[in-house]
Amino acid sequence: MNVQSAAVRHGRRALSSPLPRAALRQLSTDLKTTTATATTSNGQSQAWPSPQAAAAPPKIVSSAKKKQKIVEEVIMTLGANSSQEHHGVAWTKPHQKGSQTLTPAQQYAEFLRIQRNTRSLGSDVEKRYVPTEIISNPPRPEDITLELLMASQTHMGHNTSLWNPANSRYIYGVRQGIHIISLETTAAHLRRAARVVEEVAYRGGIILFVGTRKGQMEIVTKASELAGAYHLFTKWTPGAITNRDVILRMQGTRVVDHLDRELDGFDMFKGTARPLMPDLVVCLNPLENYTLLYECGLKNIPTIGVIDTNADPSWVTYTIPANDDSLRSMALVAGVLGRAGEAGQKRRLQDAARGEISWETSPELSRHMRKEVQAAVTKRKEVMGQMQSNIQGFTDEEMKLLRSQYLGEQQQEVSEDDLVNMLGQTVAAEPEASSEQAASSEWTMGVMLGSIEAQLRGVQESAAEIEKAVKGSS
Amino acid sequence: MSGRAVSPGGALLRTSRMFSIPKPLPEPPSTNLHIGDHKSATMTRPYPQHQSITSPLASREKGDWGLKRPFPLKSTMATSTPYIRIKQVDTVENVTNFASAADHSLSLEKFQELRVAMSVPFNPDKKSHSASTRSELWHKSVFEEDMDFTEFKGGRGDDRRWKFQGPWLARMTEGEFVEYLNKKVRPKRAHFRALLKQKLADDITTSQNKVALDEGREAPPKVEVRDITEAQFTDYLRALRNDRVTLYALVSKFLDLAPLGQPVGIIHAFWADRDSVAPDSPYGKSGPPPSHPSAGISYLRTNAFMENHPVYGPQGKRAPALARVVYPKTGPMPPKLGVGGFVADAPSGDNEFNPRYGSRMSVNKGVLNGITHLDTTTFGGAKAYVEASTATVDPSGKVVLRLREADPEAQVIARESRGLTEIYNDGPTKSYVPSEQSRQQSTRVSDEARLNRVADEVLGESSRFDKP
Repeated sequence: MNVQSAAVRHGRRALSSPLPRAALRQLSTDLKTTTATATTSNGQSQAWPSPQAAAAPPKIVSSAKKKQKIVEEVIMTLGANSSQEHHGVAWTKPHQKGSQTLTPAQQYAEFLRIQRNTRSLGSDVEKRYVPTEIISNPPRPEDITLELLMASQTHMGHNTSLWNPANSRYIYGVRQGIHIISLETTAAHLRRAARVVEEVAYRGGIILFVGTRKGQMEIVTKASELAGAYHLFTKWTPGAITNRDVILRMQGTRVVDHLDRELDGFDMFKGTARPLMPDLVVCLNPLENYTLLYECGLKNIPTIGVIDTNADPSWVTYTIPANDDSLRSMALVAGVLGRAGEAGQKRRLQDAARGEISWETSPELSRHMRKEVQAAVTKRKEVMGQMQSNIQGFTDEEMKLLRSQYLGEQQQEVSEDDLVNMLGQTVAAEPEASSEQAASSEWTMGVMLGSIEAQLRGVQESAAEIEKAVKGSS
Repeated sequence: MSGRAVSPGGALLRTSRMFSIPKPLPEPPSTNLHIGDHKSATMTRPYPQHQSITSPLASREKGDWGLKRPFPLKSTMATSTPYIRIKQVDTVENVTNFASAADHSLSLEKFQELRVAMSVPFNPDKKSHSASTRSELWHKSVFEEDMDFTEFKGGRGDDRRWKFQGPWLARMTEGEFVEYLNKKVRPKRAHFRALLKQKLADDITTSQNKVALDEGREAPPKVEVRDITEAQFTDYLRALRNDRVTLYALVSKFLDLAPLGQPVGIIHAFWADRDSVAPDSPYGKSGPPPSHPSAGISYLRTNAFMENHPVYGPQGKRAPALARVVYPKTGPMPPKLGVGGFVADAPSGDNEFNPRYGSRMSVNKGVLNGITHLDTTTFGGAKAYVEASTATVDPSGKVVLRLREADPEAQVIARESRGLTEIYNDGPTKSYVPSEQSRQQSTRVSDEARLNRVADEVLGESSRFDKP
């Protein structure tokens, strides 16, 4: 690049003489403003716009070396920023937010702070109705409302031509060709049935939930699980109540105490006891379970049944007039009764923990227990009699003492061991009184308790010694 | 003041959804006698008879539709259109009688997607009437206050109602008509005579007052009904017998009959002497509609709105709908197009749906494929874009859709929105300016090249001569 071109490019600045200081300062301040506005588009920046520069035609550069030289010269220029400044992505730079400049990190912290503070605001969208809730968390009897019953379709009866006129008192009217069951009646009957279930559960009764229609398995199992009851979701075996000795012969029973803990020592009873009957049957579909309800009627078992407009209400003891086709309606009815049973069981166990037992032992079991006690007593008597006949030469006083002890034992719960001990002591005190007969009769007592035998064996040995002594002396 | 007191459960039941299911509408009559023989049990009826019911997915997957019993999942879950109509909640066979209601539900959805505003039936006969010619320019909505009312206001505007106490005589069969005469009309004779007497008394009073006013006398006393003699009344009746127009007006007002389409001569003779322009009933020709004239299929009042395109901005024409030619043109009958599940006449006028032989205008416009003959080669039939302008519901319940030719620009945009064409330029736009410079440059380049060649020739160092 020659001098001429430099003059063209830098204009007055390149050629003029050095300026005085004040002018230089003026120049520098001016320079700043111009660099801010000047466009450095293609490297050939012009710090000072000059008429010559504008008029100069674009120089056609032929060689790469020349081009490089031009670029070098431009870089050397103090007046303009020729090279492109490196900027990052826009979001990495601080931004003006309102009155303050924030770095991205600060902005993010601010965003988090606002989010944290406003998180609790606004509305929560919640699901009011969850269809599975009626199985997993059924309502309690006190939660029954007419709205709930209507939403659960309990009011929809059958086609008007299918009705049973005995249900006319439950029917509110006719709509869309079907009978509408009164919601109030349903609510009242459902509450009454819940009360029955609760009391039966409180009294420790056996409750059986029956729902044999398709889809009712889940409903009855859940309800019986809640109420601590039994369920049936398959066909009722006809005769399982009336002919239970045959049908349920292989089924075992349990003997529990007031806290529902199983008791030992009733194997004899369990082996011989008759199969149990339910104390309350809850039937969700009476139409299909007529046999069951009939058997319950024969055995005076109270029944609760969901009576649709086509069912006969006289089949069951406690009716619940409701739609028996809808699973939702059945889930509601069974769920409410299950909750009632749960409440009854809870109350029973609470009372039992306090010592109040709300139920009585069944007559069969108490008879069995009485019989057992009686058998033990007679056995003891027999033993006593045997020993009494073996031991000769008791004085009247000793006999009286024995008798009083025996009678006392019967009342004062003196254990057999104590009695035997006492007997053993008496026998040991009077060894010479025992005879050969006693020993022979001792061997015949095969069914005596082991402890008694052990005690008596000592007696027998002493008797044998005495006998030897007698033989030796005679 | 509420009705009879009901139990809480009864009140609850009355507000329940099952109780609010409307009674089914009657089976639509067969519109065409010839087609009536081919009626199928599963065909889509002209109008829905039952309410369409749906259920949320969480309940539906359990078969819970809020009715008597759970529904079979096989038919209610294996569908993308879970709409049913309940024919019977419970039958003697212990099942719920239901069917899919997807046909009418989807038709409604498609119709509402067309965004058609319902209008009162357009009467092509009243060309001469100035008001009707003005209303031809735009369709009048069925929801306008001056027509959308049912109460009796007393006055000539009552004819524009869409619901009347009395029947529409033209639609009655002979038996119905005789029964109507015997049961409804005959018992009202005495009442009508009393009404006529009152009218006669009023007429006499008016004429007397007018005469007195003209002669500058005081008004004579008002003529009462009791002053009218029997002979006077008989004369009046005879006169009325001959004045059919007045008699018809009196009778139809008395019985609140739905207006009949009156012959043009009568209506002009009748209304010529009246100062007020009589608004004519839009339902005189075809009879009053059985329901609200909108039939609930659309609640739009107008279609005078602009659609906004996300890229191109507000559009002058609305987005057209793709129509299928379902029936070619037969004689004078226009071809039938199917739009959104509704069959409509092809738009009239000079367009691709109307072949006009010998016309200069139609030369450059081709006729659509399936118009003259049914197009059996195109998959799905010949299709074309049309614009639904308005619709009415005729007394038989059929939706009469009016179509308009679609704007070509709107068609292109519609095709682009479906991805069939590409007219939007996403790249940088280059404005083409045919400048002098570029031409000069090109000449200069060629000049340079020529100069180079000349130099080469002069120097003799051309590459062409390097090799040999």
